[in-house]
Amino acid sequence: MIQVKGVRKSFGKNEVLKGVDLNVKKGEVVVILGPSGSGKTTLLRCVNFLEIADDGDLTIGDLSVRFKHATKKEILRVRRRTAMVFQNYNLFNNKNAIENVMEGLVTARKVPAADAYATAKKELDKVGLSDKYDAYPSQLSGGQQQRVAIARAVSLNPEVILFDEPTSALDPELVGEVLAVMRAVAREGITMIVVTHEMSFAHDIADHVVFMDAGVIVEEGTPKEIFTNPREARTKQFLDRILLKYDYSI
Amino acid sequence: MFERFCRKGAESVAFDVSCVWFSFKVAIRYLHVTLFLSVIPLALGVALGTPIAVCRKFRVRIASQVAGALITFLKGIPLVLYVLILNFMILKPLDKLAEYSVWADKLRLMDKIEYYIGIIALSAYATVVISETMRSALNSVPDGQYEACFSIGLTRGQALRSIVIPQALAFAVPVLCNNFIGLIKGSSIVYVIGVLDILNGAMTSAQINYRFLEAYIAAALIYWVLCISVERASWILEKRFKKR
Repeated sequence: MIQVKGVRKSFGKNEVLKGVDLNVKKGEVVVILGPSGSGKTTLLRCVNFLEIADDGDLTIGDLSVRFKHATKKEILRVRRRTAMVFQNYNLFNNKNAIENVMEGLVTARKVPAADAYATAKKELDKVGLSDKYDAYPSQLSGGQQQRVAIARAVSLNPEVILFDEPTSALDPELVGEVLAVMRAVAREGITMIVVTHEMSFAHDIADHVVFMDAGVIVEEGTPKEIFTNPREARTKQFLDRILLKYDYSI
Repeated sequence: MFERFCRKGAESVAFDVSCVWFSFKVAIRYLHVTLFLSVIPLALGVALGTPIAVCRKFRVRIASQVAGALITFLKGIPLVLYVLILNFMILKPLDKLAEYSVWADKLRLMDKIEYYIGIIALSAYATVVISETMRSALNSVPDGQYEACFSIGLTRGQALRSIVIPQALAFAVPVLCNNFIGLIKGSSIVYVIGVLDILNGAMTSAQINYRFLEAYIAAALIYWVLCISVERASWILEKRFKKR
């Protein structure tokens, strides 16, 4: 179970998160929606301590930390229970696909290289890249790189995987392959927090949808509630814009 | 006896290839001096410049400010002034000290003291240049690489060792080779304090027969061969790193 309580974060004078609470049950897929600048990405980055939040608490399983006072050791422990998939993939450019997956296992988790190799192979097979073990990131398409990144995250067997707009940098025809992998990951019962603009993914896969705007959670509920019957005007407005429900369509 | 080395005397005006050959043979005997004057500063430059670059990249308190100010200041000084200023900064006080201390006197009269001053000056210069090379190399690694490291639970040290430094090195190697070529050529400046290197060796040969043009060309040829070799080596190294 992941619990975020009262997280606040400002960049200079700009308050990006104004006290956000989020509860994620084990095995749940939570999708965070919202217009750009609403603080979705910052929220994810705070959970992984890529940004240090100004205030708030984080609980992951039996590990509780205050964002502001977390020690280096606590940050490392949180990071070793979470994994992240980035918008720009961020594969290690000096390592090939299988080394990318092995790195966290071998260096951070001290798994023996042979075991890590077997795990990495298995995970790459699962994302459909069994013919790309030795390919360097520069030799892979965006979709393939993102699939390696997902394999890298899953291989660490984290308590939660954070997806930060994993399909936003992809060419449209490559979005499908990444979403398919994410669906498969969700089916395995891995806890996921996903920031995305892919409404069909949110609708079909999410157990829980959160709508954020201007640094606060405006509304949350099941996909059905949010998509078919939003309570808040802002949610409705956003969904109409994304789903192109204009009165005058072009 | 000098006719043995260079058949025509000083009275001949025509360019004489045999005099180039004569100067070449004299100058090449000082090859090791030029090599030491460039390899040692290169090594010291990497050894001292890298930590400076790391301090500045990660904004280590005090150290980064001091290093930043110092390097900004030193960057604007030509190499010849490093040599001349350090020469005076070391020799003048040493002269004074020699009056009181046997130790300083010995040091002052030490064989090749100018050579060591040259090495110190070139090393200082190389440290400034290479710290900037290393800084831009570290900056060439995108922030996303660090974030990916952290997200899989690596510490900063682990991230630097296995991801960031290998990538920065691939960027730095061709630039370092260029720095090295600059140091080889730059080391010739030590003739102003009388160190016998390739250039100065060639010039001494010309003092015998006044064939300065031939001597300079001989020296130029040696520097050229040296620099081209380094450049070729750099290509090979680059290719090895580029594979990734």
